[in-house]
Amino acid sequence: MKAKHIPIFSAYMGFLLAILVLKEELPLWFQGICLIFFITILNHLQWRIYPSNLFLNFLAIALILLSFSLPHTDIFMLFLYVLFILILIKFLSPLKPRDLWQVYTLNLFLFSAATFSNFNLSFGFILILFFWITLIGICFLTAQQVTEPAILQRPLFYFASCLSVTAVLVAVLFFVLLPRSPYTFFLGFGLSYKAKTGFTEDIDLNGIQEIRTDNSVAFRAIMSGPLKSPPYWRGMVYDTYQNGRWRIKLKPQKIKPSCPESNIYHQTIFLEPYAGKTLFALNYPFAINITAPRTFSVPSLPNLTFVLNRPIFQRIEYQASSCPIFPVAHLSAQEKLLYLQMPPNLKGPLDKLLQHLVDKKDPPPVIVKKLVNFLQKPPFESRFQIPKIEGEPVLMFLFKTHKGWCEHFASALTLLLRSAGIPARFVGGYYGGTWNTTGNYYLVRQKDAHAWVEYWNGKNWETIDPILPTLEIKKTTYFSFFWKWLDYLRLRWYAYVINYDFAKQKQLFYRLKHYFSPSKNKNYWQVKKPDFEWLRYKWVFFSAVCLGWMGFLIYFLFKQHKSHPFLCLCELLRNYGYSISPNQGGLEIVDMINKKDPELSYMVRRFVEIWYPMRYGRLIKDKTKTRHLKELLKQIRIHLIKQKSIKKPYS
Amino acid sequence: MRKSRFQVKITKPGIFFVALTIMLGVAAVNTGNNLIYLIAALMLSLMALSGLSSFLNLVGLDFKIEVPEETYASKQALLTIWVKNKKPCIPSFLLGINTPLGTTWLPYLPPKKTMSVYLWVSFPKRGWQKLPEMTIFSYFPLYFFSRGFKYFKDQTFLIYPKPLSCPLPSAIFHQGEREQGRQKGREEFRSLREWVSGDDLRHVHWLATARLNKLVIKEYEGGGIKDVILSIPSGIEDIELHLSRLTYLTNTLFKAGYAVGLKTDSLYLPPKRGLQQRKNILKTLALYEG
Repeated sequence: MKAKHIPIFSAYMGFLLAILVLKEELPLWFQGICLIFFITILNHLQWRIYPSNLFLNFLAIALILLSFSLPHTDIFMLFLYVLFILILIKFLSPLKPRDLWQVYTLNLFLFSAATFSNFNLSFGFILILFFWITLIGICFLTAQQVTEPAILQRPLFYFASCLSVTAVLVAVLFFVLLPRSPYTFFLGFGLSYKAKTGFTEDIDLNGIQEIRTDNSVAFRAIMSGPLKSPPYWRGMVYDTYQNGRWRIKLKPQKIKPSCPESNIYHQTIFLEPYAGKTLFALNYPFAINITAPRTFSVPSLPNLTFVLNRPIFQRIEYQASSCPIFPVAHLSAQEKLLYLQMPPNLKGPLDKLLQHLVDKKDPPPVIVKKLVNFLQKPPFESRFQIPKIEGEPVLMFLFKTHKGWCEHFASALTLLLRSAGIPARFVGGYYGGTWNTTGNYYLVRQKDAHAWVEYWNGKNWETIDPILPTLEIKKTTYFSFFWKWLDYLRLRWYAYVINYDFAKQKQLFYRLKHYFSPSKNKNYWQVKKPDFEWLRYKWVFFSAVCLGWMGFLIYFLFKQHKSHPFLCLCELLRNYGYSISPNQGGLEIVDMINKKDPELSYMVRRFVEIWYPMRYGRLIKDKTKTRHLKELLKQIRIHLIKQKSIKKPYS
Repeated sequence: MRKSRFQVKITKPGIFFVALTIMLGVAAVNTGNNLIYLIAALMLSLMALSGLSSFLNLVGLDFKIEVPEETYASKQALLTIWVKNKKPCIPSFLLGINTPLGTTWLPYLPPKKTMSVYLWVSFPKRGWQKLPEMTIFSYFPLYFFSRGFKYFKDQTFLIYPKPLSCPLPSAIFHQGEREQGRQKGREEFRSLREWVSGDDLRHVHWLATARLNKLVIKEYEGGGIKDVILSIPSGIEDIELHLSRLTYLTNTLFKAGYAVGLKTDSLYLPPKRGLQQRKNILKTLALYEG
């Protein structure tokens, strides 16, 4: 690529990266149009056919007006459309330096807009890439305004790359030190965050299977170590069943429970945005304190659910404490009534079924065991794909299809227990998760969603799971190490970048003050360093070092091979005692050598006579001449070695 | 040699960049969006590093200026500026050298290297002239700021008067002091030379003229000696015009092989040939003050 084309190329690349970070916001047809416009780069590089400015101005106005009439266009999308249209119009007109500056600025605006919708680690990587590419473009544009940039293409490229790397490192410092406010003034200019899939406070037994296919992350829970058995992550507790839907009707009565047991599990959870209001934590949570974006504690409801006032539309971080047993061993009359609720149309069929299965006089644990045995044996079968049948889902499951997923099993068990006079409730949450040894946390995905039952055993609430989902056992591959590290980076990205706020800034300054103070009791970061098994992966490092070293050698061999032949000649002559200044021309060198060694002078003259037309003429790709030059260089070297060996005895 | 302090000027893209950074900073504080903070931090760090690299680009430079041996007033002369980068490992990019007489650019200067740039200059006056004040500046790396410093060097150059062509006879024979001791039959051939205005066409060497396609005449030993004394009369009105013509005549006559002398009110240089005589006459003309 020619140096003068680099600013144009970087403007296009910046635009491509902007499309990439905004791909979830833009409709597919619009992305297609933007990509088609990439053909215009050929117009700038080769054809240079441009429409008149008047036409382009009218086109821009018409397209912007058209974007107002597009369906489902909010103010954010309108802003995006206007930016995209302006850039596309710029691509149709000649790209002079001023236009390139404008394109770079518009690309920056697109990235700024993307910050409202894209919080992923990939955004960070793409932003750095955009920064690097744009910086190279600006450096070359600056050079272009002064001189012919081809002269300094390589050094300028290296410089721009070094500058961008250094700028990223310095930016970390600025990011940490820039003043944070505990309050936002305009609530992000009215822009809201987008919710993703997940649990809601209303479960439809016919429509829940979507979540099963969703591989996206639900939350990450940092803990001191992995648990012996797969954990249950408790979320919503549903109390009322009606027409195939579970709902929450418990009136909020805030309580402050405490754990009677000594072994309390502490977790720091990074919850991804979703449409619900409930927070998830290890079974049974009794205290949750939100730490980001704002610090506050969430009161618990009597059924140990932690619910926020509004849906979780942005990533939040909170600390949860969990107890191995249910910490509130109390059931009020109102609660008992609620947890025995049963739709009238189900009461008859379920009572009939219960008569065959259990004796109502049995203690609750015995009844539960019998019912679970009933549900775990054929003809009952766990399946995600079941034919859609009209009618009450639980009745269909128990008496007709016998096939369903965890929600069907849990609903059936809850309602059977209620029918048997045992207070029971349907609990929604997640089961299992992948333990990341690198970062000491559980990675829980949406597909880990699960439902189980809690029943009152007469003294306390107990968890019972009618059907355990089969956990996916992943083989340990070489890539799993990489994915774990990548996910660990994501966690750090959320912890240190996305959720960095005034409270954390304050905390950081205190820690720094503490760190640099002479006191011996120093606390370190709240999040533990990754527990990395160096010895286990030593061969990876060994091979990386070997590869790096080989690459280094190859690079230098290659560099030597590709280096300037005339400079090689100068270096060779210098090595054998000829003082050659950098500004000395080839023929001057020939004259200088001629006095000492006419034979060598003749060889150098031949070299120079071939080299100059190649360097300054159009013979640069002539391989035979290049070979000839190499041969001459070899002859000169041999001659010099001979001369040195002759002179030595006399010296 | 003196260097002034660094002066920084902001360019139009620079003003826009600063305004954009402030705008994003305010947006970041307003929204509390850490990714906007990140972009603002990147822009701030870029601004800081741009200043630092611009500073490093201009430090550790040394300059040496060469003027052509003969420089005439109001005539363009090629000034050679040698720039040395004394920094051990940092190259310098896009160096601009600005003088009141013109601007030149040095795109790239590797570390520990010396490179030259050329600048066409024109001195308006004759006599001892100081080197014009130079401003070394650079828009590097990002065209947001122009950083530069002024460079003074107490180096003077002798500028000869502007040569102004004139017909030979009227100027040379101003006081009728021309000797022509040529006697027929006593000349001995010395060499061939190019014809100049005033030469006798009888001495044209026609064979050489035909071969070289320009008039060539024969010079003779002894009898062919031509001595010319140029003079500057006192009380002349337009002295600069007269000096300009005398400069032209000096160059023309020396080229033609005359032995030239100069006579002023206070100085007499007897007619001589040679480079030194020519330099002396031109120097006298350059420094003549009525």
